[in-house]
Amino acid sequence: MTTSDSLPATPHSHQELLRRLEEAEETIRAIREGEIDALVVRKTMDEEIFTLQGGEHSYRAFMETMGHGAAALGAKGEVLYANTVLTTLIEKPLSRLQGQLLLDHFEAPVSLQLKTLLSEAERSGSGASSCEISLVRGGELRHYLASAEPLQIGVVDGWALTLTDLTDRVRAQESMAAEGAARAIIASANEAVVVCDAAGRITHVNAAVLAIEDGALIGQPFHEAIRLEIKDAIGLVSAEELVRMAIAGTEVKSVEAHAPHAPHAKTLLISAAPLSPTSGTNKGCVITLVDLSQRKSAEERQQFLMAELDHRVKNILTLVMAILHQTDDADIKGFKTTFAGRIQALAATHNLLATNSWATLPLDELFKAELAPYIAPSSDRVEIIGHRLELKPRSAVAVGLILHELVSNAVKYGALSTPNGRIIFAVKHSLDGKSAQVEWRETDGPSVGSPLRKGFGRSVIANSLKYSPGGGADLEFLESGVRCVLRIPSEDIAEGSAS
Amino acid sequence: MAQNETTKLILYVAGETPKSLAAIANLERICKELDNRYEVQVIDLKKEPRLAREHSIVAIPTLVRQLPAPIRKIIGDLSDAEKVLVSLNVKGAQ
Repeated sequence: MTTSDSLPATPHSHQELLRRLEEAEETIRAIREGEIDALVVRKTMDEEIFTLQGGEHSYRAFMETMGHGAAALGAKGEVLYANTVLTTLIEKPLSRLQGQLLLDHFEAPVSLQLKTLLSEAERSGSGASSCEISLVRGGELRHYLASAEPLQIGVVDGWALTLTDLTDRVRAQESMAAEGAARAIIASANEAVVVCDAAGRITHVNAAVLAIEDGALIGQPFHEAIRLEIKDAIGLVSAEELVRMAIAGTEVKSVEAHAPHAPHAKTLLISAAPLSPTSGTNKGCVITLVDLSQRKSAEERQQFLMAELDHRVKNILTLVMAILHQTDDADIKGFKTTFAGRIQALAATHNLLATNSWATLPLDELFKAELAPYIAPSSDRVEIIGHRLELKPRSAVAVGLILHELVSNAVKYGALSTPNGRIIFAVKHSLDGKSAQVEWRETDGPSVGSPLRKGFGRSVIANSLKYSPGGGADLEFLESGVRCVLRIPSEDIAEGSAS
Repeated sequence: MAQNETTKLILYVAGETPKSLAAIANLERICKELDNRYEVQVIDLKKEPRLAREHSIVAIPTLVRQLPAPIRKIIGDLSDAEKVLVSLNVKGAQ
């Protein structure tokens, strides 16, 4: 509120001009300070009255009730009025802002953004321009939508500037994005993951959980929905207690439990951790259940394989030593050839077994592998009769060595030493159930007689399959050709061999 | 200002805006302190905008002390009675 003297002076006297100037300044001051709520605008012919507000409240009251930060700025960007939300945001009282350039009270990058915004608003002439700005307030980053619009307050040109707090909306969007990512991570985890709310009720599960417990799990208390028996528990430790501890902020690690009601009873390793522990308020917990059954089984298999490998290496070394001692060709060249041939036969069997992961080996493949260096297995001089047998590794190694001796002998002295000789390889049903019989028969070759000397070859043939009561081999030197009947122990023939 | 002179006041308002209504109510209270030697005229510029010209009124509400001379203007809703009385030079400024 103010006063102004009107001096009785001539209209154009110096004092009159001073009076008018003072009155104009006081009018503008009264407008800025909100002491008036209507203006008279003089037009060519008539005066017109503009009220600065409508309804019951002044425009200031309106600005105060907006809830957003709002300021009326003069032509140069000076603050005419700023509401409490904005003065709180700038952290300065209105009295220190009024008349000052508003943009000077923001950090340089934000000030530049707002300057650009006001320029845009001025260029557009009408309608609001807006941009998003970020301010650090109270140690946290907050996001605002700044909006500017040209404004004429009575005789003053300026801008209306508002700042709308978008932080909650931005955080909600970030939170939704984070939740989406978390869901994707949980879904892709190999281990079973269960998320519980602060009351211990299940809110999320991934597919792996269904292998432990199926049915409707969401919304159920964890300890009721997923039935677990804690191993070596003394009664105080239960699944319910683990979840309660995690929700309260204590991480629980690697507790072994049993899931007796799982489709396949499982041993599990349970860990539970509070959800969002950094936010200060725990919103629940995350529980992971690692299936130890698979891990235990894998460990056992690894142990088994290592023991098996050790056993086989020892067997092979022993076998190589035996082959070495019993290969008794008179000259060194003959020794090398024979010894190398036997080791190669051993290696060929090993290769085939390795290809089949040391599981089983089809007998006909073994037969063809031994023949291959000398004659095409598809040749009409070779005939395979009977059903297919799958040999386990022990019998495969033995049969491989026997076949090598038979093939070597046939190449040197028997059916494969002449162009017309034939070999018939016949797999027969076992008569006694203890073994499968395999007959090696040479025909159309030279007539043979029993050799004078019983060398390693015959020893290998006779003894290789004798590791079991049902196993063995009988070698006959018939006039029509060599005949050998192998008895492969039943326990070393894989189940499911086709008849 | 001599005590025996009548004080002539003109209050310019704009319809029933809050500041106009407040100014009328405040002026009524203030007039009680003027020993009944006053004359008050309220002019609603919403109804008669042309009347603003006589006293070159720009902002509303404005109180004009027409008499005694010289003319003085008080801009605002007259909520600070003490200040108004001082400005009108009718109290404490004799």
